[in-house]
Amino acid sequence: MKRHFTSLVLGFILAAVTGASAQTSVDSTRTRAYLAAHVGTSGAGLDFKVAVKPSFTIRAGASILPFDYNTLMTVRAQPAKIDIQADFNNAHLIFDWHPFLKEKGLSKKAFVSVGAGYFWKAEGSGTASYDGTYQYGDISIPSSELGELTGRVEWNKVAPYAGIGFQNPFPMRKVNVSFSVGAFYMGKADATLTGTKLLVNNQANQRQFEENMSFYRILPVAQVSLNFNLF
Amino acid sequence: MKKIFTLLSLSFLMGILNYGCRNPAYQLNVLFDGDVIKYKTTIMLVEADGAALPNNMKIAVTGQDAANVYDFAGLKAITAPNGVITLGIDPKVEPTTTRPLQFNVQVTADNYEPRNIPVTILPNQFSQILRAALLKVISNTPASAVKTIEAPLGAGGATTAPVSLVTPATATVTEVTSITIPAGTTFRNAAGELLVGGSLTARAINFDAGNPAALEMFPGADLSSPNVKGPDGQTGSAFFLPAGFTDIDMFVAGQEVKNFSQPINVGVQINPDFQPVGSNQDVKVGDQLAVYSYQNSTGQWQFEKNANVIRDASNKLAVNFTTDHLTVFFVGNVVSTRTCAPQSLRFTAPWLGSATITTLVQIFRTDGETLIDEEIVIASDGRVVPITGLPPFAVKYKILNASTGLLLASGDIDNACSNGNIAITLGQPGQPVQQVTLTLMVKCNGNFIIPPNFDLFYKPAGAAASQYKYLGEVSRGQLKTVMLAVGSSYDFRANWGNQTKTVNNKTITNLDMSTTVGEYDFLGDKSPEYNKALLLEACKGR
Repeated sequence: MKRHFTSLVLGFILAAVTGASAQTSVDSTRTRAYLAAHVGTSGAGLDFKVAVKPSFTIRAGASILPFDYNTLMTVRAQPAKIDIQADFNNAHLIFDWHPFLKEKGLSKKAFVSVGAGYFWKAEGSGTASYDGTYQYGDISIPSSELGELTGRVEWNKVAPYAGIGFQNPFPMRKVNVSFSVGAFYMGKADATLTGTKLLVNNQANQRQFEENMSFYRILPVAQVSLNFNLF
Repeated sequence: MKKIFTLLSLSFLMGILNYGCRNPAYQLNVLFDGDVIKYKTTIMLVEADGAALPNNMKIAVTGQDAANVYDFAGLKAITAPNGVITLGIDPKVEPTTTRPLQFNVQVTADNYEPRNIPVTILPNQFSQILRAALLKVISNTPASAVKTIEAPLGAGGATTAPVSLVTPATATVTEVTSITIPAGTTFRNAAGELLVGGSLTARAINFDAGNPAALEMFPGADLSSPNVKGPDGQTGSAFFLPAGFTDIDMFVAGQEVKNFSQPINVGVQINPDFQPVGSNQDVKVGDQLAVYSYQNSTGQWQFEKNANVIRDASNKLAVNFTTDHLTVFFVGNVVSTRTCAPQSLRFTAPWLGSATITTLVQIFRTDGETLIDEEIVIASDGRVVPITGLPPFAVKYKILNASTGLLLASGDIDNACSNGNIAITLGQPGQPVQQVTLTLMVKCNGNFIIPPNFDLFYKPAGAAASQYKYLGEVSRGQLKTVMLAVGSSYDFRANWGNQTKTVNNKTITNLDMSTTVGEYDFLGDKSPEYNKALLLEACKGR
């Protein structure tokens, strides 16, 4: 599955860059500024980009990623309601460097990014509860009386970013498209697992849950930006 | 340079995309608390004469909160396997200070006096243990004597001559009850219908009010009752101090007599050592005692009259009265407890560590000899146990080790219903105590669950079944107690629903006797297949 996904993403990037290569550069000596709207795995947002040098672009902006997912599934052979919520909202400052400006073709558009994000929200929670009426002998207990199990995760506020991407450094058109792939390093998350009512005795699982969530340190970023040439 | 960049970029990409995220639920064993029922009451039935309990006991729950009462397994059909009735309250229902939960447990069995045991559950009174004795109506016991007669009836169901019934004086029950039914008396059932038959069967059971064993045979199984209609016509709780009590039953043509066409005479000889409330002198001729009657079907006591103590023809202190109905009759002092507030026992016993000890809490009058209440209480360091049904006057208490009888604490309580904590420090026994931990981890469908709390009984291995004693409540699968000794062997018994599980001849090999029970784990070495069947049944739906 992962291989398929990898191939799909690589193919997508290749196709996108091939399309972008139809653009041609013009004046490569003056500073250019863009307003960019982006959407991707880290959410949607806006960037202000400034190409202070032909090979060097600074982009500052913000992204928000509200996530809410509800589903019914079977847990331990019982119907369960699962509610997952997450928020990744960040302001970021990223530096893009075009190392192959003198090359032609796709290489010219490649850039390397480093930067950091400030996440005013980098947290998620998942709540599982029994869906239905639990039967204890002759006593019917509604799900509201059974309690729920909630896992909460919170990551660092400040996260470094690294990535790569493709964009036309000196687009002639007013609007152009760029692509980037990278990751924020979120660090080890603070994770808590709490239960209520009949699930209240799950403190013993806290350590295991923390360990499981310690594997989630990277927020992958694959995004497409629509850049508007300001001047 | 470009190749290096490409290589690094691809590596970076692959690194992100193949970043191994673990399932957040990996190796999480979600613990479901099987202890659904929070408020529990255990009633331990014993046979008054120490014999085996009858097999045909029927249990019914009545009263204002009966609809919310189940057994520990959540079953509505209440049973009494091995004489143990487990009662649990629907978890959606909670007692409050102003509205404690109240219901009655009625126990009937052929040839036994029916019992109506009132149960009151206060906030935070998560468990309590009550005891009641079942009395065979045809046998004497050390605390009771019974007499049954047959008397001919004439046409229209009337007695043809005065009928006299006197209970026997035995070696242990030296007082008697006398009944005289005038000639021409007819009999009616509870519906007021005239009963007609060839003969009258009359039976009287006289109890030795001075014998502590009679406490468990007292109506309601306790000297306190929440349902007492006093001289003022008001109904509320009260505490009974019996000088004597007697149970009179009559039958005509197989139907129970409830009323007479004319009053009958009853004479109850009383305990000569009885001391009226407010006095430290024994009862004497001329003292006035209250007569109350009790209806087992409703569990209600009712004031009948006051009567003077006399010395009867056999030179014994007695109270004579007339009545036109039948029931249990009480003679003595009754003290209203309507304004009483519940007390709590607050135990201090640092030597127990985190273990529990099964204690016998005995309440005496200030003479230190007259036992008026006895309860099994599980004590631990810092534990607060609500206690109900104490009288509104000064008493003395003793706390005993329920197994060995060793005195752990004693003292005075100035006012036993003044809504406070009674601080009790349990003395450390001379010999070192062993804190034995029994831990039962249960796996259902491969996942650990916290088993529901249940009561565990024990006896020395091989001892008679009547020797089973209450060891304690296995809470969240664990019981840590000082009642067991390493190196000793015991028989253990637990009830769940209408099932009983016994583990015989189990030796306590070390202080930690933890085990995990599961379909693919340990299932016991005595009857693993039976245990597996029990486990799979209990795990359904979990």
